[in-house]
Amino acid sequence: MIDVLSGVALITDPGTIIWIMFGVCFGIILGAIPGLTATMGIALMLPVAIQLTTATGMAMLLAVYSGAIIGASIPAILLGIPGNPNAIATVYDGYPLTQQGRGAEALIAATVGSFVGGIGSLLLLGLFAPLIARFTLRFGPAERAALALVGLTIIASVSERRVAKGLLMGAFGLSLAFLGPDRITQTMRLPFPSITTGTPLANGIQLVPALIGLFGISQALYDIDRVRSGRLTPPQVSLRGSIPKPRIFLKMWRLMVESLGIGTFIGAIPGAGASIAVFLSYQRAQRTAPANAASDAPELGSGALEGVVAPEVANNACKGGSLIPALSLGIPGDAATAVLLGALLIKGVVPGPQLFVDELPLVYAILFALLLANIFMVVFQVVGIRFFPKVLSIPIYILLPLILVFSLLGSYAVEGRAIMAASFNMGVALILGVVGYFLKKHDYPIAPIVLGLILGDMLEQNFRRAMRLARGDYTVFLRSPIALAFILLAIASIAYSVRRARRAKAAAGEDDEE
Amino acid sequence: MRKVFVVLIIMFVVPAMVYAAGPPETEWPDPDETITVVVPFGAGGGTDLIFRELVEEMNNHTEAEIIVDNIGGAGSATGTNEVLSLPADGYTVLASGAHTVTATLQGLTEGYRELEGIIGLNWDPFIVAVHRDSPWESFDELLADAADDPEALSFGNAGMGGATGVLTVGMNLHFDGVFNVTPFDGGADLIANFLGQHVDIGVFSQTEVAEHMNDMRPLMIVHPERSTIPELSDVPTYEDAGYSDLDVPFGSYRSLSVRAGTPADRKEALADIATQAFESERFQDYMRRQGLLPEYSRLGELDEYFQELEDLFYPILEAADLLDD
Amino acid sequence: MPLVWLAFSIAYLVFSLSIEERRMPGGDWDPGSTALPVATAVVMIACSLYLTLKEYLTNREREKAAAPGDRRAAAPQTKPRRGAPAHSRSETAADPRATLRLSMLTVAVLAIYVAGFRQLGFVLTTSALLFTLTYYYQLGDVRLRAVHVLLRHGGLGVLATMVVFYLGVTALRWSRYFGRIWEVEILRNRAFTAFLGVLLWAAVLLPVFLYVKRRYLDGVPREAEQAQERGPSEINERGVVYRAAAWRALMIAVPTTLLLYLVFQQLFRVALPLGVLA
Repeated sequence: MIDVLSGVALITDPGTIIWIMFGVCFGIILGAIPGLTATMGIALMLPVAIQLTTATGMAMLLAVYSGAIIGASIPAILLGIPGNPNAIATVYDGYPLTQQGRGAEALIAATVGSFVGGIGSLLLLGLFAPLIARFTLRFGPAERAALALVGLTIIASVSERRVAKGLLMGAFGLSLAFLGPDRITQTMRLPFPSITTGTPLANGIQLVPALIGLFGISQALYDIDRVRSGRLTPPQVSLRGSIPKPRIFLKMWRLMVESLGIGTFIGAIPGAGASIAVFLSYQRAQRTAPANAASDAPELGSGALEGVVAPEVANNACKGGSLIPALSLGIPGDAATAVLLGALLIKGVVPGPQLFVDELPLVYAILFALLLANIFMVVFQVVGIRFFPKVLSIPIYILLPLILVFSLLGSYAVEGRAIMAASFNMGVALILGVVGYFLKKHDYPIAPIVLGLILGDMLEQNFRRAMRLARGDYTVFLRSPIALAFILLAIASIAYSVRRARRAKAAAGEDDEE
Repeated sequence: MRKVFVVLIIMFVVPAMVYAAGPPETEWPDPDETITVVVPFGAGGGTDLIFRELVEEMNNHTEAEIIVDNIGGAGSATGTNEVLSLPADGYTVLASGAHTVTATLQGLTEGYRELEGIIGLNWDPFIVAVHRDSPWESFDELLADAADDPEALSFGNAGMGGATGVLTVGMNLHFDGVFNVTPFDGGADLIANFLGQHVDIGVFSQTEVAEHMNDMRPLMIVHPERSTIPELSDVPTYEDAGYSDLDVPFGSYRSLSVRAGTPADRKEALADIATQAFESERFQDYMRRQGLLPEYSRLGELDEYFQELEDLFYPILEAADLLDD
Repeated sequence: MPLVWLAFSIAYLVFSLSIEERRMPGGDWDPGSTALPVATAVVMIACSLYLTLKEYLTNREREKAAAPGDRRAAAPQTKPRRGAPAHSRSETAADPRATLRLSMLTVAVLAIYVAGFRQLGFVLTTSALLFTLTYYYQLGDVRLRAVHVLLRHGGLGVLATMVVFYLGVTALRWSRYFGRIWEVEILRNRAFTAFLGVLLWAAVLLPVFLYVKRRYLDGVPREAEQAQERGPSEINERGVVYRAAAWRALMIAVPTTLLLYLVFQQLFRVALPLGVLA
């Protein structure tokens, strides 16, 4: 108990609280600009954090982290641009809501989801960190390859009835992921190697520019025919009178708990990443929503609040999850926590099991800072929600060029200190933007491309690594209980999707393509 | 209409002309400019932390502001290529080293052929370790078991292109390929897999081992001298362990370089600033605490040292089929 | 569309077969560097073949079903099913040809932006892009007759942005210089000097904008709106609308470019290339 109190005392001075508020604000602004990621924000603030005391510095960095994740949901919901990988799945229902004039409602849902995810994962982190961390260590190459396989089965559920098209798009995403170096043997996989060697393509296609292109730029191109009507979306309903009732969110408790578990757990597996978690939780939302919603509730993908809440719970839970191996094992769960660990190391604090023994007050200070950051995050969001949708009342002839410029500059900013690589990323975003535009026109699902791109590297590397460690024995995937469970889950998931597609087809008596 | 244009042009262009001259430049580095040290790895990693420490000290020895930029990717090739694409004016410095040599030999960048040395800093010797729960107490025992069933024991590194990759391949060559060398996706990934016992043997930096002393059993340090970190001081050197003929790179080597063609006086100025920082009590103390072994060289000496490194690395990379062909 | 994908898949197969196949030295257990790309290519070919066949069959069925003579019904139906917004698109009364022209212009301008970004620099390309798009989006169509206004005002806008930008940057250099020789720390502070720069920009731009607004924009919008109401083809000949649109575009492009520079470069330390300004 004394540790808890001394931990709280470490960060309850006014200076620290102001730093946390500043961090959340900075993070929200940063996250709201497409292309600027949490990792970048933390790295940016690293020199400042080093000047502060360890607890204050960590509190500020965590605040930036929290702010950046909720910030990313704003452009995802209002403009349909997921500025960073955390917000990919938020787009599917967030943007349709905005198109129905319910942007503010979606933002509220995102805030609720974020808060639940943030606080929930915080509790899990505080109570079970060493336990979860030890369990995630059982994830070796075979288990991770199987997890990637589960991730790929999401293709079926995000492509709805267009299974063949979805599969094609997923493979297209994989094909993009395989460009660049093969990270096992360092073989360069470049088309026209005489031209492309030594260019930024040698580092492969980066996820964030691809996201911005496929979602942001393609949507903007798609919206050009609205230029004459003068408006991008219908007028947004003002918040007053349209605040979703708490009951609606209480009804989603199961979904929230599931997303929380998915987020925290995936976040805790080093190298898995929030983007898988948000898709998995979205898939859960898809499957549980019809059961607990009224029959006239909108289908997932056409503006259901569940579709916003689930991924937002998951991506915030990931944030807490990724701190689990970081603090208890000293292994960063993702790039952002790697920088956080760096900050600790610079201050002479060695993360790992000893941290929970030697530096317990600091651990509690970190947990408490995260709690404060989550609270400020909600406060700022609630204030901001009145103003954010105002962006949409800008005349379209100004807004559309702005979206395009922000999309390109955002893809540039991902590697914004490297001018060559950054300019190349703008090209990637533009080309995929045009591709995405044609795909939209021809009714091809876009999400599978992103899934392929995210999972390609994870699947290939871990599959090959597992094969090598097992000396060519394929049964390694069946001998590991975790891997086996995942493979069965993948099969079940495909079977479910196929059945659902058949039913939907039968029910509609289809005139549709697939 | 025309009048407006004339007025506008006068309003804008004339003051611009007045200002265009800018403040007079007297010395180099210009105290109002920023010198960027490009670290070709992500923020928070081992290399990054060392250079951040050095840069902080360098700032005490010049009026110009010096900052660290992380440009990771493709081993260290992305950051190196960025430095090579910027003007050779001395305002951009690369955190170079053994990684630069491996990236260059692999053909990922023109690398050190287009770089010139400022100063050489230190070696960070690697440690070969097994899990605490494993049966091997010494490298001899490990090697004996490995020889019994060749390639049954996996030897993990943090990626084939990097320094740990070169070391593992080099050692495996030396011991007639008894190990199953398996690359992982960076240091953190290797540690996670090692702690989960998915890989039998790993090669780590000293700080990594010191952090995980509960789970790691260091078998030997690949360097002629013992570690200066107290917890690791009883880890045998490869000579103590009885493998004095093991001829592989010690670990990771770090230095500062600029793009070739940078004026000599600017290189001198940079070398002076960096040397003062290197020799400062604070940085020397930092190196001792981190177990980093000083290996100072200056300007031309560093260029020669890079040549030696290439000669050392070439045969190993060739054997690993990693050379650019 | 399926045919395009078929072509792409085959090209990808050729590419993945051309990759050097390398395995880790030692045992031959690694599936190798080409295994997964080839597998992916095969899946892509299978899917696109299926889709091609399906489209062909659907078309033939439609052709059969359609009354002879009414051939239009046989056209492949590729209407977007989803992604169509909740509110109707028909209200926009969009002229598909104008939309196509605008889209092509947009893609072309963006491509030039990306290609020229590094050499020409952030300030020049961004102000030109913002100006061009805002200008033509206001007109609602790409008209060759409007080009001379675009070039004149756009040129002015880009020039103005660059000069104002340069002014700000040089002023900051002086500020830091004096801050150093007079030993006034605040003059060297990054945030403070950035603030000074904004003030300077505002001081230069505001009067000009107020003047432009009074001289060229007040009174024009009514005329412009009437022209728009009469329909896109009736955009007025005297160029008043063009000029108003151009001035408006200019008033957006110049400060936005400067603001973007502040946000990305000063706040988030993104290294934006200066290009010709360097």
